[in-house]
Amino acid sequence: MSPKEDLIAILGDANVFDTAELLEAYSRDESFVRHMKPQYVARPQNTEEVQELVKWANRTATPLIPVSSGPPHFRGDTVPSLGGVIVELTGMKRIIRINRRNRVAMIEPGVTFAELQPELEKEGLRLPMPPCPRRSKSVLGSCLEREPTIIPKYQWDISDPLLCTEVVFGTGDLFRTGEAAGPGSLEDQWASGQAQTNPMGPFQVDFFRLIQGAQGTTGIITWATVKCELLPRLQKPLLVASRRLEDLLDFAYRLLWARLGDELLILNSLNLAAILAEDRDEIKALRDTLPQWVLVVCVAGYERLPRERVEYQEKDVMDVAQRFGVEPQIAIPGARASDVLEALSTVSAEPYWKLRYKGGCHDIFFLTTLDRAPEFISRVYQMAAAAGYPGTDIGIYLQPQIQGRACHCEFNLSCDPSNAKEVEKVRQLFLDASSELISMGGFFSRPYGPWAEMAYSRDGQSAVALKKVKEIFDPNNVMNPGKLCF
Amino acid sequence: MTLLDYRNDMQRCSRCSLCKWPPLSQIKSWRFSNVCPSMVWGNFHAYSAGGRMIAALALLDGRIDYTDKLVEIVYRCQMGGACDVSCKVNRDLDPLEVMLELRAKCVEDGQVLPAHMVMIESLRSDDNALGEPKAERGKWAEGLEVKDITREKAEVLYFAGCRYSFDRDLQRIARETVKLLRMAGVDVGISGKEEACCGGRAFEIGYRGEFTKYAEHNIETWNAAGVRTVVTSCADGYGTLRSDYPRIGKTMNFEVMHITEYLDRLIEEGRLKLTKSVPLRVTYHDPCHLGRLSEPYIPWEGVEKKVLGQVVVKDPPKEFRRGTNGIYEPPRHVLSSIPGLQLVEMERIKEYAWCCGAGGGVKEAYPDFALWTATERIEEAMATGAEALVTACPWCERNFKDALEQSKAKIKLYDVVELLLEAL
Amino acid sequence: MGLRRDSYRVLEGIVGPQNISEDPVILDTYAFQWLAETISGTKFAARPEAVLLPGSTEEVQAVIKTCNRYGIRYKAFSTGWGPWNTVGGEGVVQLDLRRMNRILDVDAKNMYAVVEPYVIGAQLQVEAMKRGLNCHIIGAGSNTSILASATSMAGYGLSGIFMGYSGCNVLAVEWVLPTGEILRLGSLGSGAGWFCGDGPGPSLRGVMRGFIGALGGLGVFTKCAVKLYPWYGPATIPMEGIRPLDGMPIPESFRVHSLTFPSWEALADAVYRIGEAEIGYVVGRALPPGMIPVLNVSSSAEYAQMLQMVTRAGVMDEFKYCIQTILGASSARELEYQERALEEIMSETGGTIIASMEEASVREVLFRALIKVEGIARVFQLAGTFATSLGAGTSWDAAVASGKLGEQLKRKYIEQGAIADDGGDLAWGGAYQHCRFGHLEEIIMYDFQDAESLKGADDYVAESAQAAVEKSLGQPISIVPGMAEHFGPTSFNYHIWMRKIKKAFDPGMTADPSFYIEAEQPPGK
Repeated sequence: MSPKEDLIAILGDANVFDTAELLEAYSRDESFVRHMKPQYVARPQNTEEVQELVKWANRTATPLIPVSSGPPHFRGDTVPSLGGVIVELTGMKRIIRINRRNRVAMIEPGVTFAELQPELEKEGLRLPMPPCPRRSKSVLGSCLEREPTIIPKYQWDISDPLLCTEVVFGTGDLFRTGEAAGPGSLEDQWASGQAQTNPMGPFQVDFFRLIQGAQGTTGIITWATVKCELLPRLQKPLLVASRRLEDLLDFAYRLLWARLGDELLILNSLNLAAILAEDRDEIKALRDTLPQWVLVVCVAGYERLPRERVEYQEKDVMDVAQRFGVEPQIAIPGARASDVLEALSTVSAEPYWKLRYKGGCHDIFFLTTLDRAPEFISRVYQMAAAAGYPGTDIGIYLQPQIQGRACHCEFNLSCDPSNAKEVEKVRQLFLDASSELISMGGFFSRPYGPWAEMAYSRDGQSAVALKKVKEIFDPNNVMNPGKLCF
Repeated sequence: MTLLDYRNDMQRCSRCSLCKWPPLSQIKSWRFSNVCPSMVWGNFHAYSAGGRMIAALALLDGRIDYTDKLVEIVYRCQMGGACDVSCKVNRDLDPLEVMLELRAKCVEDGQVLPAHMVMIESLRSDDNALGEPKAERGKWAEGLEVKDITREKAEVLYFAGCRYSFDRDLQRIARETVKLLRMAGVDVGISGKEEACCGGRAFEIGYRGEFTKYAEHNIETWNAAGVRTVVTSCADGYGTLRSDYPRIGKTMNFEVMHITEYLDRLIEEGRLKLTKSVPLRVTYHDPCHLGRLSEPYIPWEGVEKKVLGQVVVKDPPKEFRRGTNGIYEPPRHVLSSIPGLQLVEMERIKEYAWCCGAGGGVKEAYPDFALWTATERIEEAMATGAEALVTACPWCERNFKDALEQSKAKIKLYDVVELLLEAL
Repeated sequence: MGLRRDSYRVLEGIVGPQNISEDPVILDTYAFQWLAETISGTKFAARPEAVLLPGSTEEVQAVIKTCNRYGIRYKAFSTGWGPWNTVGGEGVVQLDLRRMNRILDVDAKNMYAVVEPYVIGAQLQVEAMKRGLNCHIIGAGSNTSILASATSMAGYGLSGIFMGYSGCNVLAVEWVLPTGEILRLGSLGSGAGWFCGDGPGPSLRGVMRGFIGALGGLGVFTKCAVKLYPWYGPATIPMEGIRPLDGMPIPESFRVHSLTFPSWEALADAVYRIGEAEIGYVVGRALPPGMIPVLNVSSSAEYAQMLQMVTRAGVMDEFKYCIQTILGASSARELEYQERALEEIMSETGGTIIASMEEASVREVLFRALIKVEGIARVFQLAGTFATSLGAGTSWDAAVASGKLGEQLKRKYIEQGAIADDGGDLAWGGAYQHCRFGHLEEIIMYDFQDAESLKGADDYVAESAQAAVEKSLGQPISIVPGMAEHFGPTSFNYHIWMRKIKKAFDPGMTADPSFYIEAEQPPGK
């Protein structure tokens, strides 16, 4: 049988595609990675089909590229490096279970934030999200990529909010990670009061950590549980403006130490403008009105004594602010805190906010500590100036992570995709800045595209170890080959 | 009791390593968080109290035989008892007793150190473990014109002890102490050259026979002399008299007091008036035998029974000494009574004080280790910002003195009595 | 057996002659262990061939490379409390990491510390408190190694409501692999610092450990960074007294209460609500009813008397469904909020504050015991030793179910007289990360010197492990050799994957696998 026939035998002909348009769409994304067309796009609907698919891929040595979010894609991880079959999981959209008592949801990979949040709200829950994710963004895709969320206090471990998973490894073996592994079936576990909230294990291996951050190179997740939080009954967002980033940092540190606030992040004027405004002209105007730096913090009350909680938190935030000489406000020139919170906590309207300014955007992000952010920012500005790229076109997003132990530092380089010169300038700046930032000690923990080589040449020992892991879980290298160090 | 009698204690060690640290909630810094000098020195688990209990068990059960290493492990320990205090925060075990019995067994089996043999020879020939001639013993008191209790009665016997009797650097403290007592109107006498060792060091290094001999002799002598109180400036001696003499079951018709206790009483009674200011910032070192090792030995003989199924209880109930009732406050009261003196505490104090390093036969057998231990303590003293380290034991003083000479650390060293005298 | 002289000389050359020994007395002090009788029937498990005290990562690496060259197995430990520290059989050298004892950094701003293996909780805590921070300390006590708990063991502690679980608190790690290469996890490997243990790409923390660590089976961890957490009290707190414990003065920013509920269900509800309200600094069952008397008695006889007395007087009923709580807050307003929230929760669930535990001196003792995490070793006091059972890390409801099951299963063994009659309920544990998961382990006390008691304890542990499987209450936490082989088949054969990991990372099979897994399946299994 031909590959297509094989696929149809597994998935049914309604779920196998090879139209030129679709293959062309998957051959590239918004990033600078080399274009490469897949041969087919397959849409499994359940775990059994996924497992059959992976076994087939092993038999036929066919690369599989799992994709759970809809377009546009930005990281290059969904572009096949060596051809193969796109495994589109967007059709697996079941919200299998929401358990209010244990604040957990079990979902399939195709469930988006836009689909999940309303269902969680019905149960009085919410899931911490990245800032205004795109509409087509898969929740599990985001979790598997370790995308930062905007509520650092809920991130006990960088793996949060991902909990247990069901996975088909690259070998074709089915497995469940964390306490979902057993003993007992899911039904047995639910009957005993378990809710798949402990992601660790089973026993002496944290299997889920080998899948998370792997860009689909270990296996394919067929469902996962995610850690949900209480939906606030009351929220009081505040904005703290400053011309100097340094003036905000100690304030932020103290909030993290005192565990004040839910949402806590820092945006520069361009990014804040892009989140709030609808088009390029509006963004430009708003950017020029807004202060250079804005810290967003929101205090909240939940089901229990919400007013009292907001009241004490707000007063405590003000006390801290006074100590550090900053002024939290409900509105600043150009923005109201409530609008900002609304925008950040909602799935982005179209076009996706990062694309509104110029139509295209290339992100550089890495982990550091908050106190080092100014030196990285300063360097990027210098390099942009040297490259003739306007600093005012750089969006900056700082997100405390792991309850303040680390900080996601992100630079968004907008460009007009139809302007070849600009694209090339941005591409070069992207590469040069990435290289410089990594040499300055920026930790590129999510090594997409060209970052992979940079990261693994710095940390060769990790590459060696990861290859051993790869050899175990995907010995035939069918899972998204060519990514990371594989 | 014998080593075998403690077999259950050895078996029940849970290897928690608490014997290596002060009681956990008393740890105040990483720097001064150890309490066992031989563990810090030796590092292998065998150097801890728990380790020695295991070694004792292994020896009893025939799993191991004597080696140089075993003997070294047994004797490279000041027997300061901090381990015992820490263990007993949670357990009803007697690690220090096990270690004492282990030493006694080693001596019985002829596994002794040459340096200790020298001490015992000296004891046997001259009633002191320092190698000094007995005839010289009373010379420290020449010219004092103090009663000799071998010839006259006195209410209070001042027991100088071997170290104060013979150590020419320290003798003046004993002299000053006697003067002080007389100044306060105390009817004090001494034994002069008839004074004999308390036997404490012999006990610590496992020579039970020698210890018993001296204990019996001293008790009989002092009972016969009719003294009401035996006062000593030597913490080691104090600990021996108060804590270990009860082991031999002979009635003591006298009270035993350390000089700091006695001086504290005199100050309370108004018999000593401290009027001169001594502007000095000091820190006080708790000698092991004045502190945690001064509680009287409580003999116990009985069996173990089970209640509540498997809860092991001793019948009759066994009372454990945990160092709680050591002499900690009297020296501090005395120091606090001195006008102008500022007392600051080290991190490891009272029941969980770090040892000076001299005891247990270590000064004699492992002098480097003794000095190292003292240097560690001196560093702790200096970390308080104190100008002076004060203590109440001549063995501590000798060892600190030697360590200061070697390290040239800039901190003064005093006995409590010296500072008190300055205030009179 | 003994090491070959040439290999011994090489090892001696690495660590120095004073830091290696094969003297039997030294070896036996490493063979002796709590619970060794569960492995060998006596207090002594296997003797190592030699004990080494490496002083640096370089020495550890050189030792491991030497072991690989000569085919010698090795097993490292930090403080070494528990039978999983012992070597698995003949031919294994023990690495005692005691000399690697430094706190390398306390980054107060970014709230993490970098430590070597022999730093214990008590040390890190006092240094952290000077900077307004605290560290998560496991229930076994602050005499345990921070690094060992984070990299190699488990990590339950009742501060977990606020400070999580050791396995989640680890950031970057310096790891000498079984083959002798040094792997630096996360940001450390990229030369970026210690703040993150994950990446680039997937996280090798996943290989390092799972819910439980590799217990020496995957090389040696020589440094790690751990999260620190806010401490809302003063930099130092003076306290007096050792035993009986005096209390620790309770700073203004804390409140201490013992709470009781009308049923397990009410207790479960209350803890869930405490988690949701995001209150609590220490919450859990530190003192299950059978342990309440231990707080201030001086002997096991007194314990027995007191337990009988309070049981007869019905006093223990009050403690039947109890938890101990410490509230801690960064401001007076927050504390007031926490107290109000707790009051409401109590009212909703029928909970009350236990009046007899409200006396200031009692609360101060409890505060000290829970913040300093000392006194837990008393569980050895009564019968000579203890064992644990059930206790999987799971949802709080399932944890409570484990607590109920344990009490039920223990009854038979108490009635037989095989284990101590502690009242039946010694379920210890709590809810972590604001009740995202929790555990209750059922403790039994027994006399290992009594053959019937030892058998009863073994039988109970086996029976409860089987029950945990049958009732889907997660894999129990009592750790014995061969667990992966035993439980793997109940959970997607994870043991097969573990074996592959072992083989890949330790092709020379030199890291002692006795508490991890052998690279080859033993015959007959």
